[in-house]
Amino acid sequence: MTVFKTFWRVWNQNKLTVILFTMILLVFSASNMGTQETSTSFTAKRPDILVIDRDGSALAQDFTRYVEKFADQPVVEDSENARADALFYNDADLILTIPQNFGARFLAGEDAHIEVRKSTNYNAAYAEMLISRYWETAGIFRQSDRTETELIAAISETLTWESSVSLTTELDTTSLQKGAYFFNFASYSILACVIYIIAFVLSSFREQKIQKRTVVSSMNLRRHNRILLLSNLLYSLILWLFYMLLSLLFVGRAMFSAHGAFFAVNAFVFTLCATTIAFFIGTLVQNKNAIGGVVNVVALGSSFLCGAFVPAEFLPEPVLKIAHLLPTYYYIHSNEALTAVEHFDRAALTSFFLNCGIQLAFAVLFLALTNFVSYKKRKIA
Amino acid sequence: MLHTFHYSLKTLFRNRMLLFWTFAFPLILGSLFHMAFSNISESEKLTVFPIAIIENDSWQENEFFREAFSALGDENNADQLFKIRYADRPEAKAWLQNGEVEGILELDGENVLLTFDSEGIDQTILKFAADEVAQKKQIVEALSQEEIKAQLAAGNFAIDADGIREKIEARLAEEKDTLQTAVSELDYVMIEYYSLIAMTCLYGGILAMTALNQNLANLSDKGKRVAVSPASKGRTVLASVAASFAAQLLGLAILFLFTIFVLKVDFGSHSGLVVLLAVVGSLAGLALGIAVGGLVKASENSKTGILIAITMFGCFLSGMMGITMKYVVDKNVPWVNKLNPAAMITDGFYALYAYHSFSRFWWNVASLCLFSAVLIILSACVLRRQKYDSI
Amino acid sequence: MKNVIEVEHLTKAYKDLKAVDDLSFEVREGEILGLLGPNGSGKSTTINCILSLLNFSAGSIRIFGEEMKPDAYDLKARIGVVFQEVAVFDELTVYENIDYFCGLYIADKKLRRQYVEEAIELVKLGEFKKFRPKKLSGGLLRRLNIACGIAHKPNLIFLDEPTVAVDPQSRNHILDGIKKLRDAGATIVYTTHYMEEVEILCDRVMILDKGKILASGTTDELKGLAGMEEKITVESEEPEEAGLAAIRAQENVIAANYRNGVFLITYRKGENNLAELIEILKREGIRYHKIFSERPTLNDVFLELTGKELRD
Repeated sequence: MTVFKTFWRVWNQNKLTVILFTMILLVFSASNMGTQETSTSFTAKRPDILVIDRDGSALAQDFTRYVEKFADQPVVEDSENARADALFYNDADLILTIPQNFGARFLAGEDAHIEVRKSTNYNAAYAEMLISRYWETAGIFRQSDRTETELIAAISETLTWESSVSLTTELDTTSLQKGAYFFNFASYSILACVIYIIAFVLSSFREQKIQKRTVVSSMNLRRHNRILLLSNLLYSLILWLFYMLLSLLFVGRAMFSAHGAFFAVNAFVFTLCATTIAFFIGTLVQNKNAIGGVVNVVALGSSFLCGAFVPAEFLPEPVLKIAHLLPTYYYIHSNEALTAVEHFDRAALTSFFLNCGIQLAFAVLFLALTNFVSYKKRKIA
Repeated sequence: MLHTFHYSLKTLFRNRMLLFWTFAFPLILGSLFHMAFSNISESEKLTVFPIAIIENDSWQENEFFREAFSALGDENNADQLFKIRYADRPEAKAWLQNGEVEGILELDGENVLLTFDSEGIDQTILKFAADEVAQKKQIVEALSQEEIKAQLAAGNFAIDADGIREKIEARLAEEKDTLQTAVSELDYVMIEYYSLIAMTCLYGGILAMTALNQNLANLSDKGKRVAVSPASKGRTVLASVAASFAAQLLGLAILFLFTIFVLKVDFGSHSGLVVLLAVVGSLAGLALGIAVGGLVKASENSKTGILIAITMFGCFLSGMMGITMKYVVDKNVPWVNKLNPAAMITDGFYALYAYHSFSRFWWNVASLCLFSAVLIILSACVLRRQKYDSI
Repeated sequence: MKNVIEVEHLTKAYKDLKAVDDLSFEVREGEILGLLGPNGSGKSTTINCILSLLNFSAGSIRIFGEEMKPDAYDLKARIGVVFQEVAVFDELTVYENIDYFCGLYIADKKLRRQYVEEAIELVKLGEFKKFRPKKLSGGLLRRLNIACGIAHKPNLIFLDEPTVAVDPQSRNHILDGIKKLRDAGATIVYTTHYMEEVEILCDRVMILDKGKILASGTTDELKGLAGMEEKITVESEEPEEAGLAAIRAQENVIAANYRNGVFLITYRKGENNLAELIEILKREGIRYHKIFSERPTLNDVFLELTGKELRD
């Protein structure tokens, strides 16, 4: 009971930290809500493109129509700062300015340029490719003497040509995507909360004076350690349950599907693994002041490297190689894979449980390391 | 004064926890950013992914597609996009289900059919490539027809196929760039570095808090010694806090040098204003540290925790863990970031980088000054007391 | 002899608790005044009030004839304080710690170097000069704490329980050091709850309890005040009520009690108390193992005055 009480006391002193990391998760998830509508049809992501037409020629108008077919036109105030803001905040992925007399100059074969300003996201790169396609085509047809109308007709005939797409999935990818976002980000909060509290508790108990007192007390040391372990696990379990409740709030109905269950299992395995990491850090780091630093480095580090903040597909190859050495990678890998699993067939299950297995292997590794370190430390003391 | 300044510096520089938070942590985080984000700016460099092509009669007959795709799937081609596997339909479907390929391309006469089982970047790229090839084919056919018509009209009935092809290829190659892409748009990874600097500025508050702590009788036993000595309280506090500010600026200088020379971050051309903003930001951090140190009743450890929590949360809201956050907050609850010193710093840098006018930059500098002044004055009012009701 | 400190009607109240209750006393030049009292008796509060660290509800405090205020820097320059808590920088070495705190008083670097060396010599920390406080044992830490408070050679020194939790060797060093400071001309206010220290060290003692002065004077005066001259202890296994009654009937007896196999009898001034007692014991047929007579200690005085032991 005393052990539990102490645990409770330490938690009380440090709950601010747990609240902070949970708040961060909450704000992140809340900001992600309602960003996308549910859809199951294939949509090449629609970019936002602002076309400023200072020319007004038929060609410029046709181009604007072409752009509007695959892009949304955002409403941006006509000022330099507003445009900079729009680009920066991704309100606009591209801003195109068609200068005066552009159409006439283009048709005459003179140098005519459209000014392109783009934000650096993927959408912008894609949109720019679509747009340059228009002008490449226009440029090629311009060379055989066509009138403006003929040119426009030729361009449109070429460009209306599109492949047809069929999507075999019936998955509600949007809400699964949301689930993956939530759970990926949660890896940061879980890691931070678990390590922070448990490392703090352990270092409190391991402080030499207290350690001595525990050893000489009438309480069986093994029993003491077992209760300590139990309290830590209980804390992790409660934290996990709490985060699952939050997931209901932010991911919604998808949590009640098979996918949701797998998300939850994955998170559970990850929480276990995080708990063992916490044991290890709590044993290794005795100085309470250092714990905050270690937690931040470990949690932020593994989150950045494994794709909790930045999707893993954007990460450079060498970083992903390093990420393979971290359990978070396998957790996030499973979350990402779940968004595309349609049937839980053998392949899907194998890959899911393999990832879980690797996380558990990490857990065993960290337990072994913890034992090793505490054994070493005992010898020195 | 100098004596206190000197010794405060000594104590600050020998405190490993302080050194970690104000010196090492920003460098570690900066390196993490560098690792995580270095690829995003070069996102046009796409990774090669596997696709399946169904080898039916239409495919065999369509020379244009065959050539185009064999180039796109050629390992020796610098522009390789796909790893192509050829198969019949059932086999390709099986691959798609196992996730061995990202998509299936099938020709049915002139029509192009694409089959995906999810949507994402890879799928978009395949669709783009397929469209591109099909449209190029159209152009080439249209131009060939034109050419043939022209030659027939000129009375030349012996049509020279190779000549036409050469001509068309020459026309395709001749195409001039109509789009003029402006270069210096804000790389949004920059925001990460801005928030990193904001974080370092605010973490400096821990230094100020420690320095304050050493000198006030109600905060520490060491402070009691200062209180009973003939040294003026105001002057010792000032000297100590000045030392903490110096340490803070040094930490920032190291961060700047590290990001500029090791991580190759470009902070733009207004280096004087960048430094000014960093200094004013540090002042805000210092004020925050003094306020938490002086106004919050808690142990020194808890106060450090509070300071770290405020800083991390502020940086999170200003876009450190994903730039979308700053966007969402600025759009929906703008007052939050108007009160958030991390956002003021981040936004100041952003304004400097992205705007052609400086009004927004100065506005941020001014609000940081106001923020600092309010906190410092408030703290000073409380801390001015010479005698306490209890210690 | 001049008064270095004059405290008049000092009262410090927290809500409904009076930590210091209408205290008036003075400290004379060159003496060591012991403030004796159990934990929570108001010793530290009194010192903190004198030092102008705490607001107090009523009363006046004069040091060296001047009113003590937070900005009475001239006065503060002549005062040295050793607080109960060890207040040193973990980041600074022994030497640097003393130098820093001394530097708050002494601006001249050369003079300060000399003073710091002398303080180190006084508390015998010579071989630990370059050590960080974390590496020092409890006793050494206490000595450092003292050196930080007195390096600037103050005329008036407050020592607030400087020997709490200190090993005997360090305690001897500390007590020796304090005597040397007095011999060098300093006036010292010394709080403790170890009466042995007070008996060896202090010229004058003030006993505090619940914020009030119970008694003050030299140790002998105090014992006289309580009227105690002799204390006789008898080890015996026979709790005889009749025996106790007979003992109490003896002339000069202040009190007689039996506890844990021991009779404790205190006497007012008197002669042949022991011989008479032995007679009585014989007469009553009380058998005993050991019997001895001694001068009462301050603890006995304290017990007599408050009805409780000084140390619990």
